[in-house]
Amino acid sequence: MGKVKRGMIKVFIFLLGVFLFSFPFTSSHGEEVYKIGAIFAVTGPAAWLGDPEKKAIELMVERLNKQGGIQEKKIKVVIYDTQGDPQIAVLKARELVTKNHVMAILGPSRTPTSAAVMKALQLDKEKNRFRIPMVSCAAGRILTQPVKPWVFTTPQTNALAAGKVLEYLSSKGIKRVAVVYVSNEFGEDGYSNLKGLAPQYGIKIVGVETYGGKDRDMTAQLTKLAAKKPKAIINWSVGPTSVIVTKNFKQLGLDRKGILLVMNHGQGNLKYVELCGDAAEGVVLPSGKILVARDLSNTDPQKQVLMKFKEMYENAYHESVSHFAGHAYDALMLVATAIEKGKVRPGNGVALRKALETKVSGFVGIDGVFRYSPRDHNGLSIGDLVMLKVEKGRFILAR
Amino acid sequence: MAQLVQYIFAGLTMGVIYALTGVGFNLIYNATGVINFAQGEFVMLGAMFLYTFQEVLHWPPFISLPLVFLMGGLVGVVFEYGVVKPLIRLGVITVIIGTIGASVVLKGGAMLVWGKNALAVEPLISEKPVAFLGASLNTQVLVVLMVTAIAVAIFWYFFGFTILGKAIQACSVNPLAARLAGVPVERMITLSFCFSGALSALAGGLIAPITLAEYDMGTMLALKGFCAAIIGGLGNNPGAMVGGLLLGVMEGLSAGYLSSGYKDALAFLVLILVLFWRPEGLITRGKGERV
Repeated sequence: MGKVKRGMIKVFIFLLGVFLFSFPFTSSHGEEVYKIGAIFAVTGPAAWLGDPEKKAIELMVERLNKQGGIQEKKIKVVIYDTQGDPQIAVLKARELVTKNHVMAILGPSRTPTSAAVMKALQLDKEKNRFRIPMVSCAAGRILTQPVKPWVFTTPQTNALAAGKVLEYLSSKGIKRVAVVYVSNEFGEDGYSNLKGLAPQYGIKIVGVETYGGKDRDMTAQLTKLAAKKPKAIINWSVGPTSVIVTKNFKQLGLDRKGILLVMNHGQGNLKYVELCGDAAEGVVLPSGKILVARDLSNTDPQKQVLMKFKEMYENAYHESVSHFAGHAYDALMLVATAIEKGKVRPGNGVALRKALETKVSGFVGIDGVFRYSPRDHNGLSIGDLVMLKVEKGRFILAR
Repeated sequence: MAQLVQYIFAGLTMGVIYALTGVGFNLIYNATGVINFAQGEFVMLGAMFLYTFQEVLHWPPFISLPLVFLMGGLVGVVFEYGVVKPLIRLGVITVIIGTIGASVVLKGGAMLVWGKNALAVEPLISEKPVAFLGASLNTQVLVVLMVTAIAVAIFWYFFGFTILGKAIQACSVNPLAARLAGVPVERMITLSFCFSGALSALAGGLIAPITLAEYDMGTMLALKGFCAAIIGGLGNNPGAMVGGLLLGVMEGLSAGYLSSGYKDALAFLVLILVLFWRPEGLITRGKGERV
């Protein structure tokens, strides 16, 4: 008995030794690579974000490496799953910087997870232990306003979407609008942007109502707003509440009273249209361009990039390309472009941030033409959005 | 005027659902003295069942809706055998904690089976809104009101005029006396769970086309249903009906005339006020006391 036990221990120690020693050897023997980390909500309640993001990264890394990598070195992306949970996101981010020694983090998918990682790694402080940039796929204002030294984002912000909506409405000669929004951070941010920007476009907000994220009937709010005779009602929320607002709006017959229903960029997916059914017909909303890539004019600077990515993604995965895949594409390609243009050495996060701030301006991505600078870590503008209209169950460009 | 009607109908729609859920609470409370925290999950399952029958299996509404009712009853019975029976000997508090656990399990299970996304359910009849006193009403709202009225009528007849219904009532008033009079108390308790599950599932099925079906829709509905039951006096079924409608209309009016932000706060404020000043409920029969 004792012999067997001692034998087992010997084997165990031997294996342990092999394990410990093989690590440094393989990594120092292998050729130098650009090691990048990615954390997305691949599973969990926000899997609809994280899944396409992960797919886009895998697709583009394979492609970049097939073309010979960046500066003749391969890219290696380590992807971890946050399950949409800020705590797990922080754990995985720490693992990326301390164990995997990545030079940049792509993601996370959502604002709460991104903010948690930012705080934990002190990316909002110029001086911190890790000194690597994070390119988040979340749009929350907390990530970029004011500018955080090590945090960049790729999606269009609430401010841009609000500006686009107002620009569109004023171009239609609509001066009186009402706003209804969900009483959480997203809704309130949307509303405060609308309120702040409306005077610039000569638009008057004649009524404001709110509802809870779990409310299931908004007819009272809409009736109240309609009584103030607006020409358009703007709704700011994501998820089922936006569907219910759309259905209630149709049920009250407000479209027949000449009121236009305007949604926000959170409804830019076919799932929304599918859940609303006929009620979505005629709804307009701001959105990135990927959904209508085919309909864009040939002079649009993004058209080629959009069409190429759309084709690649859809051929590889047999599902429609989404904004979220685009956010991740942009995050990876911005980092790759910065490395290339800034001649950044593997592992040098400080140089990478500098390159992101100074070398990538004009990068044509999926979410828009990025103009990162030391003072702007989102880099998009209103022109990167288009207004869409739901017609016969699909999105078309709203004229 | 048109606006007022609109607010009232918006309130009635949700109010009916709160009322049905409230009655579901009462049935179980009367039978066992337990507040069932999984009541909202019964409602959610009803919505999910309707989705499955109607959108996946494509059965017509007049088959799928009664089937939702029956399935709800089955859930109630399984719930009693699985959660309540094994725990009741350890006391009411233990059972209540058990129902909290069961609600988490049911919610998680539903998430695995039906997924995390909201599911759209086709309305039971055509969706064209009808005009009524200048207000525009979703036809589904009328269906909800009608079916609920029918269900209430049946229950009223059942509890008031049949031996079985009276036996259930007898058990809730005085189990010992009922047993002495030869009423099989255990079976009546099971039946109570069955009805409770069926009513709540019906409520879920009815609102699914209006509110979408979602795995976590139960919690808020249960809270409001509980409010309805308390406002009407816990254990008092007509009270819960009135309480639910009252709560719903109040929500509708406060969203309309006050601010929509205070809607939920108002509901819970009323709950607290009622508990302070009339813990026996606004609508009391004025006799009989639970000791």
